[in-house]
Amino acid sequence: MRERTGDPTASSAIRRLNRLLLLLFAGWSALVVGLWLLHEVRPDHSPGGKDGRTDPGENPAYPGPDMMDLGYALLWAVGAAGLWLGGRQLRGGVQERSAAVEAARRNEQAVRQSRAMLQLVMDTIPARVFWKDRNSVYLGCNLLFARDAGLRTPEEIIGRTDLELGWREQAELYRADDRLVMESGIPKLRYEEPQTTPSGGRIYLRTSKVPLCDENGRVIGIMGTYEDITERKLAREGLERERTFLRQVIDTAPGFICVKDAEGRFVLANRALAEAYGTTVSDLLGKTDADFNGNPEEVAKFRREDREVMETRSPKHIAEERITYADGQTHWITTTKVPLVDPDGTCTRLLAVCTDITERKRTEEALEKTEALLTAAIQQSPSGILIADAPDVTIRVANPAALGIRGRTTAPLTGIDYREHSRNWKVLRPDGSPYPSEELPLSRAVLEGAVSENVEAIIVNEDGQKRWVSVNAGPIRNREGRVTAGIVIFSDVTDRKRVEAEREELLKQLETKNQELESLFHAASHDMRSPLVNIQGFVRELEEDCATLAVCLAAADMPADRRKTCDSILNDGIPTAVRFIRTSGEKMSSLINGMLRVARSGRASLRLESLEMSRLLEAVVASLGFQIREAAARVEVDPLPDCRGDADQINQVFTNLLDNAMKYRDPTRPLQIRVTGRAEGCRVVYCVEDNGRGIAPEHQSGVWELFHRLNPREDAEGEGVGLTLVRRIVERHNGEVWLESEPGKGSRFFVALPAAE
Amino acid sequence: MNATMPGPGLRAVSAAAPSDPATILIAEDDDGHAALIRLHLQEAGVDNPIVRFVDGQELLDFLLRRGSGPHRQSGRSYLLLLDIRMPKVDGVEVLRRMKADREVRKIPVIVLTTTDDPRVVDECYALGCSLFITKPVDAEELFEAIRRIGLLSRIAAAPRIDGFDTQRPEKP
Repeated sequence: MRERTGDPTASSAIRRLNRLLLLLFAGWSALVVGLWLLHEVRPDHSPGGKDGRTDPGENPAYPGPDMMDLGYALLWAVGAAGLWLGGRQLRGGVQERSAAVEAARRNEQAVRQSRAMLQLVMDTIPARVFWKDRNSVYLGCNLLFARDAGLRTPEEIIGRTDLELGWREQAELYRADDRLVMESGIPKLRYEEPQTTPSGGRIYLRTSKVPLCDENGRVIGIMGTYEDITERKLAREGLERERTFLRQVIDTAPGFICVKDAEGRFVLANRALAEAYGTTVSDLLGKTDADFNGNPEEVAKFRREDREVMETRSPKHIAEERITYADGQTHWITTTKVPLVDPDGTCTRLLAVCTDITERKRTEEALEKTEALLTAAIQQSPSGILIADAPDVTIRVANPAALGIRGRTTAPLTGIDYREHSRNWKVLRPDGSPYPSEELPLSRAVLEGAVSENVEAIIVNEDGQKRWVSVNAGPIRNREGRVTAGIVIFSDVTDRKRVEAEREELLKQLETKNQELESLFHAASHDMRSPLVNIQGFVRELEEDCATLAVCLAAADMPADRRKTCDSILNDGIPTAVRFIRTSGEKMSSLINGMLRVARSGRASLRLESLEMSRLLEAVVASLGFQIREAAARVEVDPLPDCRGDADQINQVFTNLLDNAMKYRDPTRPLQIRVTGRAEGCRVVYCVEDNGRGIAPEHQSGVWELFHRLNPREDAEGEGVGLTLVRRIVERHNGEVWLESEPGKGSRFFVALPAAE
Repeated sequence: MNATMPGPGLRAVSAAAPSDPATILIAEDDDGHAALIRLHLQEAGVDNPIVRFVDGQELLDFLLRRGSGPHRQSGRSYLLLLDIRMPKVDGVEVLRRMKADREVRKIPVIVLTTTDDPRVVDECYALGCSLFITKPVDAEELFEAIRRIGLLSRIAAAPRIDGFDTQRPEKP
């Protein structure tokens, strides 16, 4: 675009001046217009496309002011006029170079005209124009530029540099560009740069700078032009921000968002979709599902839906469909497809919005599974189960067990509300009175949220058969805690009830028998003692009478043989009889006492407590001190674990065992008794070991029996109830007794009792 | 002797001014026992009058002045030796009825019986017997027990029954 006119062969000064001015004018005009064209006019300078550098597709509706068009028209007009005039002068100059004076006059006129015209062009052109020398000192500018610089007229700029103007801040920047252009000789076109206005504001420029060369092609300065693009820049930035924001919105959206054209190509897509398809948004554009989705069936389905939406031009909602991601995993989505109808009524694009419902789908599947499990559990349950809905306690579910307990009937058993319950589910209280419908456990669960546990009731079936049931019921609440239903579970306990009743009856009988037996014992003891009192009492009288009789006989006179007979009776016959009668009486008395003790041991109530057994044994040994010394026994008591029992009775147990050991000691060796104990789970086992006579195996089970004696002849003393009492007491403590024994060596008596807590 | 503790009704008084001796009433269905008690009391030197009843009904008739048999006299003192197991009315019931009567309840009652059932012992004391003695089977012990009862009856003061209305005609 650089001017290359001129004729180096001209000789006359006037002609040279004339030609120079002419060339200058023509050159200026061409330069300015050309530069402007370069700078401003772009292939797309249509009324809707001022912002030519941006992608036309992105901003199809930028509203440009028509003022700019006027500016172009003016420019074209002025530029053309200048060129034409310049050309004519040049031609005239060349053709009439001989008429020097006339030419000089005409040239002067032309110079004046061209100057005025140039000035007019400069001041009218809707752009800032300036030119500088090689040192970036301003040689001139147009009016708009002067005003931007805060000057009144263009003349004021001459001789100044950027450093002295309003944009001092950017001066170095500008000058650097100047140097670059001048040194390289290459224009720098249409670049953006900031400028500080005289008022201190910040505006944005689009600047172009070209080098100015003399006829020898030497760069002699720089010429520049710029326009204020602040508004456009801001608008563009605003648009950019908006675009970024919208991008962000659709990319942040968790679901898929895309627009497809008639061929199914993605025109718009968000990041979620791109990621699902394993690619980027920009890569997705222009491609179709088929390029990313490995499942042809899905692709075909999507395509069918797309076509349908565009053909019918009505939105379509697909509640559930599969989509295969790039990683091969299948997800479930819910999709809405909306046709995008152009203003002219055609429809070539659609918007699809999808949400990934895989999680929900899984939850639903899990729920279904749970429901199936619960249904199976309810159906298989051996207990009757009814489930009723609020608010009317309408029975929704009755499982086979429930129907089984209820028995065969034609009456409806489900779908009925509580007002009909009592008609179809006849339920009685344990006392036989009918249950009012609203007081049934199920009704109370639904109506009052009440929980029933192990309530006993009777269900009467069609045949009038009564089944005892144990009933549990409770409300079913929703997340807010409101009762939405109730459940009742009842099991048939008729058989158990019968067994329980029988057992209770047996226990009652047993108790009665026990009482009778005890009364019998007491009556017997009284009645058996009464004759004994007489026997013993009168034997004593008899002895006294015999003594008196002996005195009388001694004084009496009688024959010797008769006296001998009498003496024999008095000193031998009667005393022997008396001794037998008395001994038997005592024995009888002892048996009665023993019997009474055993009878009573079953009656005393147990006061259970933790027993310090070492201390208890110490007391037992102390109270038996006399017998132990008599028997010359050595008693050893090891440290013992504690147990739980009644102190008096457990004392009795060990007293009897020690007493027993001393009673049946082996006279041929010193008696040794050892008491040991060990914990064994939740019970403790004690052992009383002796080196006594021992018990033959055939007698071992008999020793626990009432009045059992090993050797009745020798064991006169005692009541024969010691071990019987031991067993009775230990068994009342839920304990156990047993023994190990070897005749001639000794015995070990074991007592197991509950361990102390 | 199996006596547990002295009950109310027997008060030790000075032996210096004995009023006329209390009549000892023996309620005992067993003739042997009754004979032994008499013998032992005599041996112990007790010379109080003794009246024996063979069952509870006979005793109640005497005390409450009913029936055709002998009746107690007003203004006299009595001491009762009571057996428990007797025909018709047993000792516990006798005790209950005696204690329900405003006057008769004052008579000191020594229960003398073969039973040692603690429930019976409790019941008798609860009803207000003065002393509960289990008859020892052993002859010497029995003798000793009765001897002591005899000694006790000599030094114990027994209240007069209906003592203040002797002038009034007896109620039928």
